[in-house]
Order: sequence, then structure tokens, then C-alpha cells
Amino acid sequence: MSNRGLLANEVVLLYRRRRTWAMLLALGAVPVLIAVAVRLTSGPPTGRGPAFLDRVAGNGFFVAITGLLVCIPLFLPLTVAVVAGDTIAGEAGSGTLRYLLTAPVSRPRLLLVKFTVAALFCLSATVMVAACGLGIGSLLFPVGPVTLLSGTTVSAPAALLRVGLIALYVAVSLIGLAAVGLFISTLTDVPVGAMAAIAVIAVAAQILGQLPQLDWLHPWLFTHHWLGFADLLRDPIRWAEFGQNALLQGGYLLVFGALAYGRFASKDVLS
Amino acid sequence: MKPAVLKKWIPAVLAPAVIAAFAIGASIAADAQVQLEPKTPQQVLQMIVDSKVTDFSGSTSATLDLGIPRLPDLGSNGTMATPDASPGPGASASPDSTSAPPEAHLLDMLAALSGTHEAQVYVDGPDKARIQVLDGMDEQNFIRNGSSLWHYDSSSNTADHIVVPGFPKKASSKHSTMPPTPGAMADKILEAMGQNTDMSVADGPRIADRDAYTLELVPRSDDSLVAKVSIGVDAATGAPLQVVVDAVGQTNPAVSVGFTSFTPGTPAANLFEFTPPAGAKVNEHKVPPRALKDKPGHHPDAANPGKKLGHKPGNAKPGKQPGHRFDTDKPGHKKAMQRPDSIRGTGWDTVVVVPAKDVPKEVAGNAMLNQLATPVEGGKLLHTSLLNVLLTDDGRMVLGLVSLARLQAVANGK
Repeated sequence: MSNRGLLANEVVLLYRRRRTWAMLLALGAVPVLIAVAVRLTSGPPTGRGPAFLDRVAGNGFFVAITGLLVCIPLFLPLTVAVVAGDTIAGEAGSGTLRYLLTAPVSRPRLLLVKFTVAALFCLSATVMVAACGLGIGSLLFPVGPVTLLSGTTVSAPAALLRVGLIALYVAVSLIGLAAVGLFISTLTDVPVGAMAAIAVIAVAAQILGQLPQLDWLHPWLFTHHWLGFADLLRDPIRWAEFGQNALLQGGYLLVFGALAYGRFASKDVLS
Repeated sequence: MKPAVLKKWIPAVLAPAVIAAFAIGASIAADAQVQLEPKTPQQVLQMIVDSKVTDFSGSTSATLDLGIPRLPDLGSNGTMATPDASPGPGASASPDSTSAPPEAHLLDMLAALSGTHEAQVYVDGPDKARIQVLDGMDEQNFIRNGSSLWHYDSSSNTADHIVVPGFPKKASSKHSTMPPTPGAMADKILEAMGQNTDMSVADGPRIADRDAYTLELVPRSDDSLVAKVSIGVDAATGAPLQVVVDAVGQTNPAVSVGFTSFTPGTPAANLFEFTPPAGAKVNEHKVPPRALKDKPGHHPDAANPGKKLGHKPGNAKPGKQPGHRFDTDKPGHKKAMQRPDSIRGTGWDTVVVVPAKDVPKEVAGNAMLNQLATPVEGGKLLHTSLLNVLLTDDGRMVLGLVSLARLQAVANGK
């Protein structure tokens, strides 16, 4: 099977799964719930609730931003954990890994394809939240020029671009977790175990990130920049955070990709 | 394990090794000692005074560590998934906190000041400046354009505006009161500070990716809580890039304010033009009878390093108060200016005595302050790594950047 054929196969498999769509729809429901809740009530007083929530009523764009903000700490990592944990362990658990490998597919290539699919899911998940947020936001609230954090107002198309950038930022933020998940998935034949472990790691990393006593560790946690996308809402845009985040996630990809390769390539595939 | 199996793990060993090598390499490069033409403190001071950088932009970072225990800031960014549980950083604007006890405000303030703050600074000449204080998901903007001053707070979406008609003129008149030559001014500072301070120039690390001299001021005093003040000076332009205050008995700097990136050159003009966004609450302020010297609104001092670095004419008068110039963080400073008669001692050993009738009620009767204070001989002590405050049994407040022993000695009238 050619590389492209395998990838296409796996992508089709991902999006044909009912589970994938259930997760995407659940993610899409978050901004919808936020928007409906704000529409039905008079909205929270300024300064309460998640950042940007008080701006939702004034501008539909903020539904997408608030939705992403609310999804980052738990919902997005959970879904990524499910997909990443399933990559290798899922095949091993259902006994299809052996057949995949009997076809002339090298193990590194299979690993690469599996990771690409997981990364694609990271992007679809964030785009889903952003798109549902924009959709419901434009339905329930006025949409127009957006006031940035710096007090500058930008036109609606420019604001749309910023929301797109934020979605991209969040998708990149999840790459590290997906790489960790890929490695964990090679350790076990029980997909549920891998998923649980990945979700726990995502939460644990965020808790560690809140402890001031571990200051030295914080820049090395893959969750460190997860909430840093506010810099994309400033004028001028601060790209430093975007760059540092991409570098950090790339580092995680390198380390855990290599670990996954070491484990997967040297593993006896019995099932 | 078979060699063939071991081979598969080689990338897994190499990847962290490569990353570690890069990280260590980067930190070595950052800490690399700069080989610069040696200069005397006098020459470095002259560089600062001589500096002609009036236009620049840069990122700054301010860290405050006063030895007060820190609490985990769970949910302080308003980012947790539970919408109700997290009052955001703008909590001070919410109706709830206005009815909260003063202790909560104090905690808020301490939390807001301690830790690291980042700001983006743009300056174009003496009368155009913009400071963006980046507070997690919020931003505070201070914009000055000529006589017009704006403050915009994104968390509450409010803007404050004030026009100070005489502002630019005043600034220029201040220039004229400065000593005629930079050299003479550097001499004056040296002379005034030399009495109680040891000055030296150290080969410091690069600051904001630029070669820099580090001017070190060490108080010649046994009682001072200040161990050392280091001022990083850009070798190319003479602009001060960093101020670090080390406290006695603390490894981390108590105060560290400086640029993390610094670009000389005129920032885009539209940065200084501010129109309040539609829907924002705009408060127009009148100039108070006594002409306002500073910008409206509250500014977390630690977060506005650009102001402290002496680029603004209002701050550029170091010759007048030797020994005080780098003390802008210290509460004692302002009081000392108001009541010169209550100052005891000189230089680093300066102690301020506030008579019982002038001690603010919030301090005297504050339950939480009383809890934080430790009972000592003759009163209660509020201790931070840089500042000691002694609340004496007879109601006076004695404070200074000095050891407890000296405060007690002053309180006892010695």
C-alpha cells in the first residue's frame, strides 16, 4: 500500500467513526450552550466568568473565542486523548495491528500516518469549536467590528482572521499532547487504558502548572502556553507566544515521537 | 536486549539529548560574559545621562519577590471550565468585591503586584508614549500623546481620558533645569552617592540580546536590607535596560525590572492615537487644581518599567535626590517627600517615622495586617525582604529599607 493510500485510508476511517463525530458534536455544543445561555439571561456582570464572556452579548465573534477558551483545559484534551490513545493500542486491542503490518507498511510509516491522523483531529476539533461558535454567534448576536484587548477596533474580516489564528494556535497547542498520546498508545494493548492515562497527564500537567513552587518546570510543560492565545487579540499582535508554543510542541513531538518509534519498532506484535 | 532492538531506541535517546544541548547552549549564550571596553562607573553614568535614545519600543518584564508566601493562582485567569467559580483579574470591578472586606483588596493587590508582569512599551520622543500591561487575558493601556492622556482597561472596557494643557511645556522646562553637561551631572551623582555607596562596573550578561554594562551599587551600610542594585546599561546607546534590586538574605532578586527586547527607532505613529472603542465607558477627568504630574488611573508600579528607566523627563532628575532615584517602589519614599521632618538618618539607612495621628486607619485597624505582623520588642513587625514596617505599641509607624534593630533604635528615639 502506498503511503498516501494508507493515510487516506486512515483519515476516512477516522471520519467514518461514529465516535469521532460524537466527540466533534459535543465540542461544537459548547459554544452553542454558551451563546444560548448568554442570550437567555442578561449576561454576566463584567469581570465574572471566563474571560471574554461579558463581551459575547455585544459581538458574536466572542462566542467562538470564549468557546475555545472554555474547551482548552478539559474538553479538547479529552477528545485528543481518545483519538491519540486509540492510534496503536486500538489496532492492537482489536487484533488488526498484525494485519496492518503484514501489508508492506513499515512500522515508522504506520506510526507517522497514525500521528498525522491524530494531528488532523486536533485541527478539526478546534475548527469545529470555532466554526460552531461563529455560526451561533452570528445567529444570536450582532456581528461587526471587534474591539481588541488594546482598545483598537478592527473590521469584521480582520476579526475573522484573528479567530482563525486562535483556532490554529489551539490546534498547535494540542500537538504535544497528541505525541505523548501516541507514545502511551504503543505501550499497551488496551486502548481505554491509554486514553485514561493521556487524559490524566493532560490534567496533571495543568495542575503542576498552577503550583508556584514548580516555577522552574513550568516552561517545560506542554500545557504552559495553552491559554496564551490572548496575545493574538492585541494590537500589534505579539507573535512571541505563538513561536514559543510551536517550538515547545515541536520539542514534545520530537521526544515522544522518538520514544514511540523506539517502543513500537522494538515491540513484538502478537495481536 | 539484542543490538538490533537497542538500535531502535537510539532516536529516543538522541532527541532529548539534542534538546538539552540546545537549551544549555542557549542559556550559556545568554549568560555569556560580554567583552566590552572597560569603563569606570563615572563613564557608565555619563553614558546614561548622555543617552540620546528618545524613540524606542520594547518588551519589558517586571518581577517582584518580596518574600511573601505565594498562593496557587487557580482560576485567576478566569479560564477554568466552571464559569461561576472564577472571578477574573477584573474582579475588582465586579459588584461583589466592592462589598468585600479591605483584607480582600489587600490580598488582591499583593497578588497583583507579586510575580512576573509583562508590558510592551513604545516611546516616541518626550511627549508620546504607550505602555501595554499584559495581564493574562486582559490588558491595561496607558497612552500619552502630547497633552492628552488615555487609560484603557480591557477587563472592564472602560477608558479614562484627561487633557493636561501645560504638559509639553512643563516637560521642556524641566529639561532646562538639568545640569549643563552630562559629564557634570554624572560627577554630581557620583559625588552624592559615593558617600554611602560602593559603585563598580561589572561585566554583566547580555540584556535583551544586547551588549550591556552592569553598574553595581552596593550600600555601604550594615543595616540596609538592600544588598545590591544593578543597573544594566546598553553599551551601544547608553539607555538603561534593566534594574535589579537584591535583598539581603534572599537568592532571587526582590525587584527585577527590565527589557526583554529593546529596539531603538520610532514606533508606528498610530500606536499613540487612541479612540475609545464603541461601547466602552469613557470617563472624562478634569485637571485637578494642583497640576497632575502623572497619568490618570492606577498603575501597578512594578509593571511600568519604562517609566522608571528614566526616559521620561519627569523622572530624569537623578541629580536632585541622590540615593532615592531607584527607590520608587518604596512606600517610604513618598511620605518622606511630604514630611521631611519625620526622616531619620541619611542614604540607605533612612527611616521614616509616621506619627500616630497620621497612620492611615486601614493600616492601624486592619485585622489581616495584624495577623501578618509578628510581635517584636516594642511593637509589631511587618516584614518583607526589602522593607520593614514597625507598628509601635504607641501607634506610630516606623518604616525603612533597614533591619529591625535599626527601626527599633529609631523608634526608641536613638
